[in-house]
Amino acid sequence: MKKLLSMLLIVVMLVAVLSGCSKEETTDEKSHTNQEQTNDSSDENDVTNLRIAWWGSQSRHDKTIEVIKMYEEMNPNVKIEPEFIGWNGYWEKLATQAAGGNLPDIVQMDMGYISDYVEKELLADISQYTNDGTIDINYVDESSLLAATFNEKLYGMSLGTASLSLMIDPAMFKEAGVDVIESGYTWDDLEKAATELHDKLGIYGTEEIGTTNLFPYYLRTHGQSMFNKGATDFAYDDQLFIDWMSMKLRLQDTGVMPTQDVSKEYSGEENSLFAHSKAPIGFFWSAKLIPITEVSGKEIELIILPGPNSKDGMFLKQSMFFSVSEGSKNKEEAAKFIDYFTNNVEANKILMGDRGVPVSSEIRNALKDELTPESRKVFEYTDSVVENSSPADEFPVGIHEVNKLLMDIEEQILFKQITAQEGATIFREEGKAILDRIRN
Amino acid sequence: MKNNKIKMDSENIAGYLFIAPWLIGFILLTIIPIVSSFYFSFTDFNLLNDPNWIGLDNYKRMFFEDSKFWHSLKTTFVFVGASIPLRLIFALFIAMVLNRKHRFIGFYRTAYYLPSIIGGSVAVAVMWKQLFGLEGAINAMLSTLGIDGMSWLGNPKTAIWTLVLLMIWQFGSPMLIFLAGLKNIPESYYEAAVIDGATSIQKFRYITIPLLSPVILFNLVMQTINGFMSFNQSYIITEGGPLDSTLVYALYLYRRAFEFYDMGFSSGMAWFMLLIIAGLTALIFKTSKHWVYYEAKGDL
Repeated sequence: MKKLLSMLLIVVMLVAVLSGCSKEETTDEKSHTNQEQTNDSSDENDVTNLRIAWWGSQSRHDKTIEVIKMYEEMNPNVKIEPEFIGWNGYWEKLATQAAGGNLPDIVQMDMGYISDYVEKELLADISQYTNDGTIDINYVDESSLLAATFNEKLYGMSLGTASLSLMIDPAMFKEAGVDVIESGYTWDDLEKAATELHDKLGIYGTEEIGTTNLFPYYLRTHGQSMFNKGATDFAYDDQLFIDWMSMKLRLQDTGVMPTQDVSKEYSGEENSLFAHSKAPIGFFWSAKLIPITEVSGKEIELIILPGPNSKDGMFLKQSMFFSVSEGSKNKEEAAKFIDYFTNNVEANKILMGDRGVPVSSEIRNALKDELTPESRKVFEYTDSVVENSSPADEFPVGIHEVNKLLMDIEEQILFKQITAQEGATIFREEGKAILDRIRN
Repeated sequence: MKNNKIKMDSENIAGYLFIAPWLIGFILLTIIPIVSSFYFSFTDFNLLNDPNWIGLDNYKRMFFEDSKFWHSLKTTFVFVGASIPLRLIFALFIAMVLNRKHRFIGFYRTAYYLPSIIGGSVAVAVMWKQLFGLEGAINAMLSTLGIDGMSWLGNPKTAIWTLVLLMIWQFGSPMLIFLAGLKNIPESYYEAAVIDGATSIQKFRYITIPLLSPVILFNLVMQTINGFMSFNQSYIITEGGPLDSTLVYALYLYRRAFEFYDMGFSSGMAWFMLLIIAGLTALIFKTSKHWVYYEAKGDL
């Protein structure tokens, strides 16, 4: 009897072990040689599951989920699982998923990262879907398609255009008795206004001036650029770096701009000092006007960035894309959703240009009369930027590593550990090392 | 003779089958990744493409071209060096306090252990971040005392100490072990010492410490190993800043791996950390001959 019992137990354990093992399905997403039998993976009777990932603030999450639900209602054979977080941590999460061969079917992409992902063969070429009409591009701006085209293949649909902007709170200006900034102003004018605001109101005169976005702008207004063509080296004068950092040091030391520790605690547009009326001036991407207005309920003005030569500096950026991952087993369904997102009027009435001004002229026309005041401001601002800008610089592979280095060095300069001069030299040296390593 | 052998074998088989689930998990999830990571440390693996052998290049870059690597190592040593001894001292102190007969002693023991159970979690780290934030509870308390608060987390001089404080606060595990060790010291030793006129300090120094020394050794080794692996606190509360003042080794490793796709390099970092921890542990064991007293073995 004892022997029988122990034999039984052994069998039970074996079964437990083996059933545990069989859960390991090798999701063969890692195989880049995709002579695929994919596209027929959605049978008519089966439900197709799509996973989609994006970053953003709460208001974007709410709007996007609403659009997803609308799509699911119209397409009962499609079930979409959203995955969303803020900007912080989005790329690490994506990288981990990519490593596990587990990228969502649709991923939101940014200009700074898309070239990396294309180079690593993680994104699918969707030109077949634009060619066969699954994704209708008849009304889509050519430039937005070009931005996601590499080696003559299309790797993403732009979700909107955006540009850098200065946002001001005219009510706070009035309170301080300071003249409102008008376009055509310079960095000096900005410093003066911010200082006055700081003196009169006792709060910060301006938000943190984000170097990774605004320093390249500054270089462009001086006729230079961050990188050379092909991004094998830097292409600016150290003196401009020193001037820029000196300005930030000045503003920080006089209390006009918050110190690094403070600005870190208030990062993100919905948490920002500007949105909480702790600073009357802020630098943001234009589309952020929408969540900021929602959070603060204030009237905000959008102004072109400071000059001189703001026209050389301003540029229109494809704010973000939806791309299809190479390993997705439902590329066609994914493409259909992207088409819906881009071209469906009802959907865009909900999105209201939250990711940027829509790239389809048809949508822009359809929305014209329905725009909320904030969205209208963003659209009008973008129109004015189109007239007052120059072509954007490229975003080379590895730019985020260089940007991290830039932020590190800036931190050291602002904490007075090194001088702006030393920072310029170190950045050039170490930045070049990064570029060299990546090019190899 | 032969009969005995066969009997042993069937028992062995049953034994192995019983531990088979754990064994398979151990091999697949621990041994294989460990060996792979050693291999990857000699490649340029970037998580997404196939790895290419590059020999010692990663290690060369690590030791000679990466100042952040040395900085994170130094930061971790400082962090461990400050928090672990303090944590152990505190744990011992609390254990001694709790080593009394008191009506609600059971409740107190649980209460003091609680921080450790919820300790390593993300929620506690987030709470700690709020506590020390610009508008957090600590600054609020200070302002009621008329002292100006400051940015504890944003100041490179103070940020690391908030993390050390968190480590000390989570003294529960070593405390319980100390408590068990204290309970093993016979009362009669203390009574004999009191009769001989020993003061509290002498009792502590000549009875408690020597008899507790094996436990101290255990706690020291375990806590040191854990300390070198700490990641959560730094990642969530200060994100390695400001000015990399809280950039502990594990965080830098993670960054290089997942933010810069530098997997081969990070694997090398991981193995180097293994060497460091092994070396330190060996050192602790070696010196233990001089200060650890095992009752069974005889006199010191």
